[in-house]
Amino acid sequence: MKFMKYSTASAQDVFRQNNPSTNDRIGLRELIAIDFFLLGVKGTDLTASFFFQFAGSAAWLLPLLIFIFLLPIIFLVTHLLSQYEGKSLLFISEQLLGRSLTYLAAFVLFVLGMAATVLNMRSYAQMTGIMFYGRTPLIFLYGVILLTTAYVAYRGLEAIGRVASLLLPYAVFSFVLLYFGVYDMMDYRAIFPLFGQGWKMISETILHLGFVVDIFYFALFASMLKGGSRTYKHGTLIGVGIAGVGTMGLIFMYTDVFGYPGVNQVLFHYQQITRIAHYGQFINHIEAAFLGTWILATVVHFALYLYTMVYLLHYLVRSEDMFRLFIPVTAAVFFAGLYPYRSEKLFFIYREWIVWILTATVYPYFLLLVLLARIKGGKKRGRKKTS
Amino acid sequence: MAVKKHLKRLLPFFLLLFLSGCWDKIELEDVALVTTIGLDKGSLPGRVDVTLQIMNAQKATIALGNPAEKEPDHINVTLRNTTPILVKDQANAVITRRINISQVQAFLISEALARDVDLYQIIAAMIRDPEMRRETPVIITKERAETFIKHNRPKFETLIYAFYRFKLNRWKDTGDVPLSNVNDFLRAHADGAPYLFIYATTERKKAETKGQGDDTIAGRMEVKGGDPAEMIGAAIIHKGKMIGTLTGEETRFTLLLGQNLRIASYYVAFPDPDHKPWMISTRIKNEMPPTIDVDLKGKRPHITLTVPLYVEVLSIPSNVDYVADMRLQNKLARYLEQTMHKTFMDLVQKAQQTWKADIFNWYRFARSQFLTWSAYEAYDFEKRFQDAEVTLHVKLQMIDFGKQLRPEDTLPPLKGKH
Repeated sequence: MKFMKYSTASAQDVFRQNNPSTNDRIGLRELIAIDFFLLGVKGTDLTASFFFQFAGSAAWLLPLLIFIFLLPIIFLVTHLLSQYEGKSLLFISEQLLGRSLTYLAAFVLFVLGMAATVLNMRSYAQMTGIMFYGRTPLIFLYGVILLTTAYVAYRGLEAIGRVASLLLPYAVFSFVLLYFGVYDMMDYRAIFPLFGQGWKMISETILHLGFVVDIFYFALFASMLKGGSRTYKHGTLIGVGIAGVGTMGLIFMYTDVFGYPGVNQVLFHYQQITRIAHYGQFINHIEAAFLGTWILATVVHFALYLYTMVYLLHYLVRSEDMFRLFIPVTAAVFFAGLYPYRSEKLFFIYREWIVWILTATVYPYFLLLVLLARIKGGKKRGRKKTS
Repeated sequence: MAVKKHLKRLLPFFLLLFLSGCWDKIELEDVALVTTIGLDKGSLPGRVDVTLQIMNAQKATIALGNPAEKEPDHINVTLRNTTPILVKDQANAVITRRINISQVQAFLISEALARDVDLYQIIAAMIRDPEMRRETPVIITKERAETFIKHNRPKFETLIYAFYRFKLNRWKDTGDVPLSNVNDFLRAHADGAPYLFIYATTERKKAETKGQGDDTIAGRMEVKGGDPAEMIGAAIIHKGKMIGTLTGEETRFTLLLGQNLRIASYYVAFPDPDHKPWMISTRIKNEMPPTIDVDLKGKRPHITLTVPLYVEVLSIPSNVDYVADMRLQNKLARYLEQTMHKTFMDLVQKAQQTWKADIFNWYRFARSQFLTWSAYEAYDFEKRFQDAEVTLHVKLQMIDFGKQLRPEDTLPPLKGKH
């Protein structure tokens, strides 16, 4: 294997050789589930607080707004993927931008992705620690969650896809069950005034589109999709649609149960709502049941993050075996997460910086690729006409 | 290589070790479940006296040869001049088990504390503890919470948590008390609106006027026997301080006019229109909530309410035949409408003049008229409520007479062939 040229095409073969399975591609169902877990779980953490900050009582409309802004970008990326059918994003960008610029882009993606992974994982571990495990040292909790996540990711992308598609109905079911549990504490009039903070909503949404950049990180794996770019388009649209509806429902629940502006005083909305859920007179205080599904969803969510990071590192370092890189990446995430962040900075300030930087770099990168593909495609067409 | 091959399979079993809760593992017998937390004014400023009523969980099981037979049902522990959070460790000086406040059934706050200190500070001091639940009911007691807890020994419920659980159902059934919990209070406080708390006491005083029925506040009912704790009426908290009380009947109508009344039917008695000493007992059903229309276009807000009533007349002591005689029935219907109208308008008057607070929570309906939050804040419904013009229409939709028709027990003479 050492004498093989290190291009992304052969790296795929190396990947498949070391991770043989009869079905190493993921299909539409797995993609829908993966997109749901990438975005839907974000409704259960502090992203909800950000939404309330941007839009006030209209925070439940923000997922809809984000979806509207995402639609053109999804169509553009799908168009790009369909022009180079069956190839992953890095291969396409090598063709369009050249190898060294692609290296730079992959490096930036890697660094930003690692920062986002560390921040998000650490904030979820802290959330679980604060709400449920008061006496457990945070390092330990973080380590256990990281270990589990790394294990799931170590099994490969198909394994993650299968876990996600198995877990999807249960996650959706638990959201619906939660709604029925808090039904009599909800007062739907809290969503008025309907447009919350007004026009500020739209500008803040555009600035903070980095919240949903995960689905475009998934374009890195576009070569592993059964059915190529069509699967990517359908999967992303349906997955993001379901996640959007789920998040809208969750934020609607938060606004109605806690009231606006009372909702700004609550930090972990989802956990508090599960503590309130009750069914009839005797079935109450069942937050541990919801914690179970939530932790499983979190593990799938971060398994994807870790897998993406290992994949990017594998591309950058050009190693032989991708799966050997899990240990350095996991260790890096663990040690970076040990830094004693203050809660306020961890949850809000650093997260917002990362989101801004992601919005400023990833979307222009994709748009640049699309633009270059149009130009080069035009040139190709031009050449065809003359010959 | 062998290690690597088996690593994939062995790692999950290693992770199983962490399923027992890590450092937070505790046995159920090692936990002291607090059922009630009572807060009183401490003798030092800024401190409270916290009373914990800890339930004996072992008595909850029915077993032969119960080892916990001689143990008391509950323990009351009072810690003076502390803060609510410190209590969890302080109480372990006299309690064997770990204090757990996630099963608290009620918070009791004394009226002296509510009138003196900002209630929001007290409740918010406790809310940061992750064990505390936001849907816990909060009750304001007339005397010290410590005394209330000591005297509150219900006759049928040996375990105190059952008392509060069943009482919660009764609160939902009768509507004589508002359903107050921490979540709704924090929500109303963030909105700047007044909030109604359940009012309770164990000290019974002589009633001021006789024959009021449930138009009384806790402690003044003409009742003898039953449980020591009397819970009726509401305490109004506005901007963190207690500003007044409502009687049981007033509470029910306040909740009705604010579309907060969740019960299906309730009993109301009216003085008989013609024969004054008698009282007609009726059951009023809440089939449709009142429709509230808020018009903010003029200088003063106009609030129009239409309250549909479905009345079931259940006792007619005067034996006047309201059943068959339609003219008399219409007269009764109009009379009932007028009486209800007067009661409601008196209540609105009191809210606007005496307490100057929107206890009906009509601001929720005003919010839907605005498009942005800043527009709503600029309008400031809270201040304009005092000048608002309230129009009430009481519509008696149906009048029914229960399961018996005629008030008399003799048949009327047969009309017709004779």
